[in-house]
Amino acid sequence: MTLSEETKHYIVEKLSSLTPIFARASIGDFSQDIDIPDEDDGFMELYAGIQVMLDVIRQKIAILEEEVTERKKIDERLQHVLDNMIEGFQIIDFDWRYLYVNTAVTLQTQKLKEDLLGHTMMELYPDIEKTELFTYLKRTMEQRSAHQMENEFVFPDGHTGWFELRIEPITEGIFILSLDITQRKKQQEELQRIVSIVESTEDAVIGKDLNGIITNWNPAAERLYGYSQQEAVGKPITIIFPPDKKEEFESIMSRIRKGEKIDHFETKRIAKEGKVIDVSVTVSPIKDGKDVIIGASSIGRNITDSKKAERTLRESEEHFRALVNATSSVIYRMSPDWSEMRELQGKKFLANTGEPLRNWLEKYIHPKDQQHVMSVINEAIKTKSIFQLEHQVKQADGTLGWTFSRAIPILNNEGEIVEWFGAASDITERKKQEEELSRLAAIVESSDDAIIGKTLDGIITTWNKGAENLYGYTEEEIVGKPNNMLIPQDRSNEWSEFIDKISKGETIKNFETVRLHKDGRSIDVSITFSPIKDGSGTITGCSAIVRDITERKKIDSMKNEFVALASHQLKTPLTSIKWYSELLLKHHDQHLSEKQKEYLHEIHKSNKRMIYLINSLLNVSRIDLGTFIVSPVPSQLTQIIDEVLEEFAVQITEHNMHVEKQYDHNVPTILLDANVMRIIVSNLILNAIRYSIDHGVITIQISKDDQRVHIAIKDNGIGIPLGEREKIFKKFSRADNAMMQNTDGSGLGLYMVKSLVDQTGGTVIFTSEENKGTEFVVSFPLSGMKEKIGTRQLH
Amino acid sequence: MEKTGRILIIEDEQSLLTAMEDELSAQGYTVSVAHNGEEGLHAAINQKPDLIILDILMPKLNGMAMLKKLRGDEEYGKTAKVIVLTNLEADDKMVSDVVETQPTYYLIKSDVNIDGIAEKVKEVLEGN
Repeated sequence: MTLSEETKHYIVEKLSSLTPIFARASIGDFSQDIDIPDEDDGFMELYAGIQVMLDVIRQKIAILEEEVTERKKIDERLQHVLDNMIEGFQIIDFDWRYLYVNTAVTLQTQKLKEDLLGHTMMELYPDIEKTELFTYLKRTMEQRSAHQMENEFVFPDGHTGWFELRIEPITEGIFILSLDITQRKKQQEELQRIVSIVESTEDAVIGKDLNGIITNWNPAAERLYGYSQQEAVGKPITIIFPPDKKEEFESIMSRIRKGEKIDHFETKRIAKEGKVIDVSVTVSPIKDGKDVIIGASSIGRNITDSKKAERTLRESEEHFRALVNATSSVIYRMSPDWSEMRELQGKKFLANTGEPLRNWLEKYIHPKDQQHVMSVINEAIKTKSIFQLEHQVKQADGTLGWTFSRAIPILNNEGEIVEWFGAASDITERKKQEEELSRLAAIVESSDDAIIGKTLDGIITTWNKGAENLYGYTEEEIVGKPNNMLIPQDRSNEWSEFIDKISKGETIKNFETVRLHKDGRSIDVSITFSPIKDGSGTITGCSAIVRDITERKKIDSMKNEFVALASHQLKTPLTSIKWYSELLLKHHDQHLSEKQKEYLHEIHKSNKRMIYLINSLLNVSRIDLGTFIVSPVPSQLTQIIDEVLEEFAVQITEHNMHVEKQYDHNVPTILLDANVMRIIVSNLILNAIRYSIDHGVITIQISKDDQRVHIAIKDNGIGIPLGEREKIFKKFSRADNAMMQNTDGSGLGLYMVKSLVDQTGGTVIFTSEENKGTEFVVSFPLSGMKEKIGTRQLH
Repeated sequence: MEKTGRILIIEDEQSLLTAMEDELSAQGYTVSVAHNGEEGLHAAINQKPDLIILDILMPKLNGMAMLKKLRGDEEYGKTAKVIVLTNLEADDKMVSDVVETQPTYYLIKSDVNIDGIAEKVKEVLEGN
């Protein structure tokens, strides 16, 4: 190594400022003076002098020799020092070549000395000329100025390091002293982050020394206590202690000195303007690098608001109790482990307990529920969470009721349960309803009828066992699917018609139609559709109760056949009687006495009545089965009525009655089934005759208004008693006074009238006064009777 | 006024048959009778009466089946005048195809009295 003396001195000088111990030793070595004696005293003195000279020379030689050794030693020592420095030390010549690097440089750059020495900086760091660092290096090289800086250096492999650098000009070029401060930078950054957290936290963070002098004071502390950082730092922490809490300071500090931490200690502090603040404070000792406690940090949290809320709660406990009282039947307090009931105000629901009660379980809870109740309680105790349960209770009146009981654990500062506060409501009624509901659900489930719920869009939502049996689909298969799966193609319009009505809140009862089984076959069904309403009354869906009427249809058909056959069999002998009595009266009356003729007439009349009755029964059967045909054609109402009156002419005469016709001849021709109309009118006229008084009057009025035609048939007969009016249209029903007056009635006439009018789109009403008379008014729209498809005609 | 014409009454119910036979004979018609469909069909084709009064519910061959066969007879049966007289109704299943058989008239026994039948017979024969 060849370094100029000047450089060596320079290095030593610089090093002295950096690594004082090594540098001092070096300086001592270099500053040693060489002292040569000056002696000349005669021959002897000369000899002696020569000896001395020789000695001196020897000494000089020795000194020189020593000096050389010493120099070597110094070089070695310098080398050692340089290589053991933590600072990097490098000399760059004017051509930017590395002239010298110490070991620290090789560590910092992760390159071998050989890789560096003799090479230029640009070779090793191609991008170096673009860096800020290089501008300083260049400036030092050219302007011979010194610089000191912190620099983040990006190595070619991408890793970065932070360095503290001193760059100085020297005779060989420039000298760079570099210290790796990457770790320190990281720590600084970490610290910065912590500082920013402390600065930004809503908790007041305060540092103080062991004498309680404030050393740190964050913005939250400023906000909480009102003192600025400048005001607080340097002051004793006791400035924020209320007068009555001053002794707290000593107890806190003595614990801190022992190295203890004080966690979430709730106390009071006083702000600058004198306001007392509830705070929760955590105080921790601050230790220096040697683990010596040098102060304390405290983190304070304002709990004034929550404290206030707590206090308010306490203050309003009476209000709260009043509220609970109003909303719940029962309030109670339990010991932490529920072994003791401290109090129970049961109102009238449960019996009160003023004194602590240990056997509360036996007193209030039904034996079969006790175990369950206790297991839920124990779980709540274990988890310190709310207890809530619906269970049966023995009510004050001794009967069993249901309660919904809730209890919250009251915790102390240590988080231990001190008491349970509970409220229980009487849900006996609700439970009863639920039971009722579940019974209903069970009924639905077990019903033979298919009970189906669906949305207004026809999506099936409920499906009971009956539905499964009827349609073949299981609940899993069909719920969520559209109900058109069940409707035959040719009846697909039905649903949209129904849903219009359902949406308006209407119910469709016993609608007979056809539905599809899963296996594709048709099923004759009778369906009642009803709207499903939610709690607010909004229609949310539709229920359908579907009954399989395939069997009934078969039976109906058989019944029909039977009725037809039976009536035929009955009618044949009646026809025979009718014809022979006619033949007798017609061809042999000259051989008969008046009495015989009278008897024959009676036979003929009764026989006719019998035939009429059979026809009526046949009609009723067809009305009931819905098999009768209504095929309206344009008809003159007056003509039909006159024809009926003609049929009854004999009877009217026999009863000495008078018919008054009040026909409005503006009544147009309307669509009527003459057969049906005849049955309606003849039954009403027959009644007017039967229940008339002698010399009675039957008034028949035909009229129209804007929308309807009216046929009013009025008599001045016995009238319908008030109590009988409800049932006059019922099958086989006859009013008491009607039975007295006339035993002929079958109780079918008005039933037929009502049924036929209803099923053909008309209405029938009546007004009546006993012993004054009755008026029936049958009305049809101007459009006439509704057509009805069927298989049978009526008589 | 004495009426003329040959009438065949096909009716299994003897009392009704006699009543009609007596009345129509009394009115001057030549009346023959048959007691079931089979006998009736045979008599009709052989005698070619001016009018047939036909019951429906009868043994051996019912009225409707008999009428169908009669209508198959090109020479006489196809255009023969027939009054169906029964207590079954026209809409009964048994007479659902009554239209095909083209009876001239259809009467319900219990609804019609003996004079009514005679009137109808006169009407049909005179309408010839």
